[in-house]
Amino acid sequence: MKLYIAVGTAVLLVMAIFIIVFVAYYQQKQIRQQLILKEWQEKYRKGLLAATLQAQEHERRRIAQDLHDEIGTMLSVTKLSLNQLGRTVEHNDPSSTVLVQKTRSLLDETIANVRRISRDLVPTTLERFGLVSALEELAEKASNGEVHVELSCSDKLPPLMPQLDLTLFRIAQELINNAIKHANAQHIIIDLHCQPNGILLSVIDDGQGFDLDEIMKDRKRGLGLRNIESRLNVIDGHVTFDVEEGRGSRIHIQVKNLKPEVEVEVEPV
Amino acid sequence: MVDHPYIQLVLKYPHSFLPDLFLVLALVTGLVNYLFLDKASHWLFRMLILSLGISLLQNHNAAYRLNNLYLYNLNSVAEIGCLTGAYWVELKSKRNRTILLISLGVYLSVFLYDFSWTKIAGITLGVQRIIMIVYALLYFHYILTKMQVQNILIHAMFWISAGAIVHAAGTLFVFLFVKVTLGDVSSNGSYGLYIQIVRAFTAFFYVVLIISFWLRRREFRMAEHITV
Repeated sequence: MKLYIAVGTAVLLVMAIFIIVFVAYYQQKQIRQQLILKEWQEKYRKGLLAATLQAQEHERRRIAQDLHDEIGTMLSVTKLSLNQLGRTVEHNDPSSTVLVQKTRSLLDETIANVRRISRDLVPTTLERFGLVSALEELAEKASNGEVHVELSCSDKLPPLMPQLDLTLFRIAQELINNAIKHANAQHIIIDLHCQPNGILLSVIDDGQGFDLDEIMKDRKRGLGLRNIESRLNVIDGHVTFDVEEGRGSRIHIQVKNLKPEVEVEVEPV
Repeated sequence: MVDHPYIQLVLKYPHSFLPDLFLVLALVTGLVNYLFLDKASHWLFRMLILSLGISLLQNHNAAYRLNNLYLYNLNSVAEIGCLTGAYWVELKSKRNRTILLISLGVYLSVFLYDFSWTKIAGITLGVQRIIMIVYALLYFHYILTKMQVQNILIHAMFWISAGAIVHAAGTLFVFLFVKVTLGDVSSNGSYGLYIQIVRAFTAFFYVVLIISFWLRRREFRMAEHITV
């Protein structure tokens, strides 16, 4: 009987130890699989985001092209016809000359607006001359009598990854727009400089600031900032908001200038 | 001084104090890490306090040659009660809690039927071991299905369950066949051997509790670090 007890105890102990080892091993294996799955999901999410941004850029390009090639051409042809009509009218009915001239100036304004919208949709300067020139142009365009936008770029930028300069440009565009439109800023500084393996873009303004938590909670209002985060997510970038209501904002964008996991194609203009 | 019954007892059976030594160490460890303990560990700490009280009474009775066998039975109630409390906190699903309640009900019924003031209630202690195995298996099933623990090797409750299952497996047959194992108390009988086996496994369980209290502290710090 004592032998049976000894054998029974030994068998039970072996089974207990086997169960413990099995549980530890199996759980660790499951956790590893979960981590791999999460990594895949993250990669897929990034890919999806990159594809969305790419589609967005593609669509901008298409609209810009349509505006330039079709609407622009039609407007030019309309202007030519109006000029012909103008000459006829001047001879027969001098009283209509004023109306023709007014229509011509409206048409000129429309053509200029179409050109401007078309140019804003696709940053041609960025693709032709690089990020610094594009930001210079952006600062120049945004500056007017009340607002002064200044670009400060101390270092010579190294060659950037294709989607990196577009991302930085779009973010700068969004931040400047926010500073002018929502923070009523009068002086905006775009600071761009190199870091080891990366780029730091800061947009500093003297506006009235904002409550970040409140803005992020509001789905409609926080769209631009969330868009910035999404863009940075694709290229493993990082944004720091040094903001508070009642004082100027400092927003720092940090990106790595390394080969990214997700490639985004940039179409030539 | 040497003639004092306590000293006599220690001198005569020094090895029988091994589980008591680890019990005290486990209590001290629990006390040192008390602020880091979760609700389940609090139940285990309560179990250690009760076990220490019962053990002191057991040693007192042994020193004065009084019957102390019923105290094994009372310790069993304290252990199963506190373990049920610990697993009740951890296993939140309705199914698991129903199993815990049924197990406790079965144990109490057996205890009331089998309890004796003059002998070790072998069936009660055997049932206690079986229930401990059931609790440990329930917890293992829970961590394998919920997958909330990142690193099981530093998870306190996993080691408590592992300790409980080894302790229960090592002593189950000793108590189920109590008449054969602990029935013969003569000097050349098997009582001495089997009670040493029980003490060794009890000491092992306390060592596991010591480790789990330190692991609980580590888990708490890691969670705090992640939160910060």
